[in-house]
Amino acid sequence: MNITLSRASLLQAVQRCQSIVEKRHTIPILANILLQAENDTLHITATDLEVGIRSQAPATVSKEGSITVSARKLFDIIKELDADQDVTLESGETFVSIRSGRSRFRLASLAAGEYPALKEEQGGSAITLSGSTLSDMVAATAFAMSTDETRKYLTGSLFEVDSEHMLRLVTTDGHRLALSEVRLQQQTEAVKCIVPRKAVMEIKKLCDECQGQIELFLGERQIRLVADSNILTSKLIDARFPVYQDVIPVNNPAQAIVAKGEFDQVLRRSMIVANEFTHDVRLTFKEKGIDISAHNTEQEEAEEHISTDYNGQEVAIGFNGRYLRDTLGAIRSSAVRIELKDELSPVLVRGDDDEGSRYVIMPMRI
Amino acid sequence: MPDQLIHILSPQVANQIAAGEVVERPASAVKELMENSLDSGASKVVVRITGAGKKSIVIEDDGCGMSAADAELALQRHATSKIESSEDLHLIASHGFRGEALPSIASVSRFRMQTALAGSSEGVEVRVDGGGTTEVRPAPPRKGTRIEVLDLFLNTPARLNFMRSDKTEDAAIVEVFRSLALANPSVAMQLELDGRKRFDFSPQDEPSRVFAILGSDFADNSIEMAIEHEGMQISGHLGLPTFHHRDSTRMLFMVNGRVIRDKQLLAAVRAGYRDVMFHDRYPVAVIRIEIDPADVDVNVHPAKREVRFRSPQAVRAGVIACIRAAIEQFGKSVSSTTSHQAMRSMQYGAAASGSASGSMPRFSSGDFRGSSASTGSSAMPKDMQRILFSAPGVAEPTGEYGVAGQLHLGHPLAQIHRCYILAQTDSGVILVDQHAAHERMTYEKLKRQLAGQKVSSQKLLTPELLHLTGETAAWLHEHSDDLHPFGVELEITGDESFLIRAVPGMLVREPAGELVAELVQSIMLMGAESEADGRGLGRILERWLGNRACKGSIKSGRLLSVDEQEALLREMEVTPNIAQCNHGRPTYVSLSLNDLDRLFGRKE
Repeated sequence: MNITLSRASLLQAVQRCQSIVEKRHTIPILANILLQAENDTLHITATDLEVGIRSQAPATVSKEGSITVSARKLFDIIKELDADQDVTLESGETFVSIRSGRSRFRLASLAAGEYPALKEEQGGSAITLSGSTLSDMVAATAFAMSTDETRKYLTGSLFEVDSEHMLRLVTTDGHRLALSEVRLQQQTEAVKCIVPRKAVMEIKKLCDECQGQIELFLGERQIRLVADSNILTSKLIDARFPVYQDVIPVNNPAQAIVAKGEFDQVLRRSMIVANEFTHDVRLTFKEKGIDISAHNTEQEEAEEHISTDYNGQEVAIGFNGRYLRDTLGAIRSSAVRIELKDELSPVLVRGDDDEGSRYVIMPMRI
Repeated sequence: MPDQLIHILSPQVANQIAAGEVVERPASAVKELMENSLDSGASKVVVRITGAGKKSIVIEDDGCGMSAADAELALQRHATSKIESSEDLHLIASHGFRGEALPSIASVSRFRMQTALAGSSEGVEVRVDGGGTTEVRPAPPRKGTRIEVLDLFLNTPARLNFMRSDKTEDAAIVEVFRSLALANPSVAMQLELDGRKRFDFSPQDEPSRVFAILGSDFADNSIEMAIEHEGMQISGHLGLPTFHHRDSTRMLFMVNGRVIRDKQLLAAVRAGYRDVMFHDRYPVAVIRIEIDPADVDVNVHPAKREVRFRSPQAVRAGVIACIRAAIEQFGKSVSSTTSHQAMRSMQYGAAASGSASGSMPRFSSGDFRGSSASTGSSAMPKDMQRILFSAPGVAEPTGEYGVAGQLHLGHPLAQIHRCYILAQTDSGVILVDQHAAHERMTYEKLKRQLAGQKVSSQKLLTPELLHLTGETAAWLHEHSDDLHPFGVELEITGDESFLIRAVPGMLVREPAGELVAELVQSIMLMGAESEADGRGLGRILERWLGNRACKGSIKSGRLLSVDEQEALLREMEVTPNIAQCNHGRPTYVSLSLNDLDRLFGRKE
């Protein structure tokens, strides 16, 4: 292999791929990325056996071929090279040489034939939507994914298309839930799958980069995203997602509307003296507004008040303040609507003018 | 053809069946016979074993003996001097009582007994071969009883085939002997295996006997503690947390002088030590429980290894209380074994790490080396690296404890490799593991903060399924409300399945199923009150939280200024349980001037 290409396009392609590569892997070749040169194009592939990505950059190919090399080192070197100089990559027996201007590097390589191939599952439902829409949906829900590996099915995001052609992303860690949905423009069969956290985050990155439409294939065991010339594939979490429909309250009688910025600021202040382990804050909803209080184990206290209209019985509810703030952070509207029933029932939070996203938070008994 | 299919078994067969229960291996015969000797008021018991007890078991005592008539009757089943009516069964204070031992043993061996009633001028010899007829003949008078059991299991080849190796059987006999020796310090006892003397105890006071059995190391690394708990007297010799063992065999229990084995008591001891010990290491302890005989049922196990308490929770709570009282006291001391090991490794380098360094808890009898030589060093090499030295003075069993703040860690001289702090004291130097010490300080501070706090509870959006089995599930059916104070709400959905509806607010990021299962186990074992320990948050929850808090501790590798080092030492001095980090590793070791002198050969 012998190719020359611009540093900028090489850097972008390598950057996209290297974040997939696990830093500590027991299989040495998985620390590498696969470089394949053919037809005036450099194809770059990375995988951790769960998630895989394939990207490309235009190149002048003087000799076709393929090789694998350490993702980390290649990325670090390209990053530091002179921005205006083109980069030449040439493979030898057991190494790759990188040349740019007066710089010359030699990196150890492993044979391309040993690199695990990305398998693309055939079939599945195909969806087309704009990259920015999908990115927004991920941004609205990703925070509620769980990190508890003992409940694998909560460590990813549900991607679901229902019979009404609604695409829905749902995440929950068992204490709170986030849901974002959008109506698809095309006819698609109903399908659902759980996409692991890492793939969810990579999907968002690729969508952010992409100006136009993206394609999503939801299969039995695999999700595949095609954004511009990049392809991401990921295995799915083979488990059943909880029946989320049942936990979203539909007829909570009381509601309050608060300015998001003010509410968040009040919480941020109060939580300075909230219990550092439970982060609990107490919200007392009354006719004239909401009293917010917090205290910690050293008996330090905060008391705040937000004036707003509230149409229900006076009720005091305990919350993990972080859950509230995470939710406010994901909502894009400037006002949020809080719908509640009593001090121990699930509370529904949503952006005031946003019907696409809904958030459920379970109270704390404090 | 006989009319009846069902008939009464002959006494010989009945005895052999009983032998199956009572005498399962040579060690059980030794146990039965030794207990008889002790019940007869002997002041000296000699045991001689040949061929792992399969060839011969000889037991001689100087007890009260038996008359000729009694000696013959003793070989009848359910013949005993120890109880008379079934009321007595509830008030058993002697070792034996079932009246099964002698006839059972006699039915599966060639049995010889010579005895004489104390003060009588004539003796008697009784012989039974394999449960056949009992021959009784006069013999010269003697003091006490001598029993010979030859060719044990001669007529039950199946049993013989199932014997383990001689070594294993010998070990079991030693175990039995040791237990009884422990329980009867005032009786002189001797054990010979194949002509070699293994133990020879003179009549001793109780602590001397304990140390004679568990080794002098144990004397240096344990303290005595005695408390009264709900009418029970609970006392014990409790090993320091840093003086631990790889399995549970060094935890010994005596209930009213009877050595027993009880899983729940074992668990209670481990629970007592939980805060201060590696999770996969076991404490070393000898615990005595004196309890009203009416509150304990010993007639549970044919070999009487197990007992049943009327109120097991009270007993366990008592044991835990006793251990915690002890831990408060030895809170600040590090085991001297670590120092001795370290001195050795410093003096002789790596060569010393052979069998000699296996000096963690080991019984005084050298013959155990084969099985336990690896105890210390090889089991925990990492520790060995940490453990350099510690002053023997700090670990004296009594005297130095009591008043808080007596610990003097001196003034810091330097930080070594950003890992250890070297400090000089009046009597030598001290090395502190900064990470381990800070970990303990963080944890103790956390416990203080949480004291008396109400536990908030995070409701779950999607309840989590909890599956428990058997006893635990049955218990939980009746006690699910006991979990409320700990922030856990459960819903019962089936015999063995439960739904977790809420979890403790401070542990929302932990796996709920695992957390709740552990909590349930602990509360079931010790009772909700003992678990909560008057501090609101349960011990289990504290520990889970502690593991998390530790991540915020000063790491090894952080540079500390002199002021910081000084502050760390001063805070260590006032922190409870400072001698060990949360995982049971020592936080500091000290080396006295004496030790230094020895190291450089100025002194022997």
